[in-house]
Amino acid sequence: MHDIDRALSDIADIRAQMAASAHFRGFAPQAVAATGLIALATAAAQSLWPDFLATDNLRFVSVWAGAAFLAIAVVASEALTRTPRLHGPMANAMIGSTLRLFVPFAAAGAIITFIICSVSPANAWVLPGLWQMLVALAGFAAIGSLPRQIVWAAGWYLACGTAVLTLGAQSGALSPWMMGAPFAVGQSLVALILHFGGDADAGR
Amino acid sequence: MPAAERGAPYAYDGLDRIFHERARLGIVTSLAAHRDGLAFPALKALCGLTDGNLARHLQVLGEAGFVRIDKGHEGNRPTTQCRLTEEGRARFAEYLAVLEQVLRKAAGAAAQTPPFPTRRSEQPC
Repeated sequence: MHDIDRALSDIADIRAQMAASAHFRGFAPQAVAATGLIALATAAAQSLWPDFLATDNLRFVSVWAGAAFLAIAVVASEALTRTPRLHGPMANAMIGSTLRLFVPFAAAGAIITFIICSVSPANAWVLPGLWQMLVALAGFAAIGSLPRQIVWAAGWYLACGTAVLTLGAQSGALSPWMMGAPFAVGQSLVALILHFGGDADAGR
Repeated sequence: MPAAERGAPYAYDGLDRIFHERARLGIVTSLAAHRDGLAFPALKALCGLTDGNLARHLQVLGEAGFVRIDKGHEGNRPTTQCRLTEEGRARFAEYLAVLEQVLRKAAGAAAQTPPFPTRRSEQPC
């Protein structure tokens, strides 16, 4: 029994190593593009109805947190149906490996948001820039498991995060387009990279 | 039709003979963990094989379409980079799944089988 357990554990280890070094194809370009549209729609709605959707910093952040949950739900639900189809017996290992990659960044974003909103909501202007920087770091960390061109999208988010933090520090105010423009362009770029880069990598 | 569906659950069609060889299993396992592949000397060291043996097994894996071998130059030195193809990666994942199934069945059978009575336990107290 001990030998069998050890062999099963070895297989699980090999599978985890394969998952960590393989290209994750569960993210659908269409779903990622849809998250860019969600960002665009949220920014447009906040600009059109600021008295309802951006009355204060907390309302502004809550609306974007809702948009983020919606975007994650869209991408995750699509990934859960695509991954078993595309990765077969490796599906669970690939999902586990991808979660281990992205969940720490999402958790850091949620913790930072919670602390700033509960302790110092007046400083919420830092959040859009910090969120974009976290997305950039997640993108750089994912170079091994997504198409290599993802580095361009990560660079875009890093540049936007820097610019948005600078603008926020100068004005001390939040603007819907601090979020809408970077995420609409960035997510469209990620969708294009997944569409073309994914095909190129799969053919290797 | 897979053997399991034909009513032969112990046929294990998925245990590909190409992977089911100790040296090749080592080669494929090493390559599976490296997306960009491994240089021939590194693979040789990891698998503990001679140049000739490694080349022979790589040829078998290459002919099956599971491994791609790229020859190039680094300065004046020739280099050989070996990597698992997408097909090889997918087939190896299937192989692991079947191997896991075999082991789980073996574990189940071992759990159900009563231990062999020893000579001492057969004797009345």
